[in-house]
Amino acid sequence: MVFFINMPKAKEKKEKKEKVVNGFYKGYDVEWLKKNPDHPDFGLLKEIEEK
Amino acid sequence: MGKASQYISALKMGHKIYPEDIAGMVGLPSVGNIFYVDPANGSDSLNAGKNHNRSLATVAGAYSKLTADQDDIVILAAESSTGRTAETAVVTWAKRRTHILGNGPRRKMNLRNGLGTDSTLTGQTSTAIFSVTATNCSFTNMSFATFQDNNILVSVQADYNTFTNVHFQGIGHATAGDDANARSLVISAAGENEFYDCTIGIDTVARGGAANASFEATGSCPRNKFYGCEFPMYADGAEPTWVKADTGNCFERYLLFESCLFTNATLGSATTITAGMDLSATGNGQVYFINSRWYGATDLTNTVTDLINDSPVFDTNDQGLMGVHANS
Repeated sequence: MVFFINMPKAKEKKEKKEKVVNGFYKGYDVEWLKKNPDHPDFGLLKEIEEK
Repeated sequence: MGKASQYISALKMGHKIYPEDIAGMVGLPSVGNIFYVDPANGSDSLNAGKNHNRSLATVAGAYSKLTADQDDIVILAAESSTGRTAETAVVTWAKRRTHILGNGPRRKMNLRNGLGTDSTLTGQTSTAIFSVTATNCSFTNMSFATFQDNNILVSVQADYNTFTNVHFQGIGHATAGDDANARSLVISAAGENEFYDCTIGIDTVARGGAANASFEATGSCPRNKFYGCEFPMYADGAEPTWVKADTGNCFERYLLFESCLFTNATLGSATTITAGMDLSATGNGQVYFINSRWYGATDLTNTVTDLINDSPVFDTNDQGLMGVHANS
């Protein structure tokens, strides 16, 4: 039988803040994102609206 | 008032005057062939790109038609809001004496003609979106941009290239912003490249949690020069830098920043970075910081050994006094 003692937990990726803070949301300037509909994370604007 | 076609025999017979026939109209006294790119209405498969009505759609499409050493030019003349192409693969610019010119007003930031990336071009961890491997090329009045998760935007790997009024809009995705390998501009083992009135980086996507850099010089890079350039940043961690030049010979002879602005939006709630520049103590040259200003970092550089600076206060250790290099 094999025992695993004190196995380190897999590091969880640091979650970005999920609020609009000083105009930024998850790393993006919200006003800038609005002007860049071709950005892959443009959909975040919808998340903000739903909150 | 008569028309030229009434008096010029060639025109009377139906010949046309192409832009390349008019010396100097694109800033070079002599040009080879000109190819047009219009991201909105062009087509790489249907058009030859020889006039604006038959534009190509991508820089890659135009590049394939260029011939080295005859000063062929790609004109980005967009009919869309961003004016950026949607490149589906990385582009390697390997033809000497070929050029790109954006057909817009002279600007420093967010020029509305440029090279952009399609949503499918993502996940590039170590290959740049645009690599310059030829010498004697120029890039004027345009932007390079990627808002996908790609680490390196532009990599200059050859000498004697000139960038004028170019915005390097790199690290445009939050995931890249947290990646230590992200760069807007890299000069790799190349020298005597010059940057006039350019912007390197953006301050609308946060960077932090990893020591990425707006600009990196790596390998032997003598005499690269930045005049009147801006390095904006919005940091959400203390690790990023504006400049990373931390390997031997990476500022061989010298690396020059004249009348440049290095700014991190700390008065707009960004996080203060620890050091603006990560410099080698064995760069084998001097880093000149002339008539330039920086804000939003605790120290301008992690080591002052090779920094020649004429700006007041570049290190917290200076206690607010003028910093003067020992050898100055």
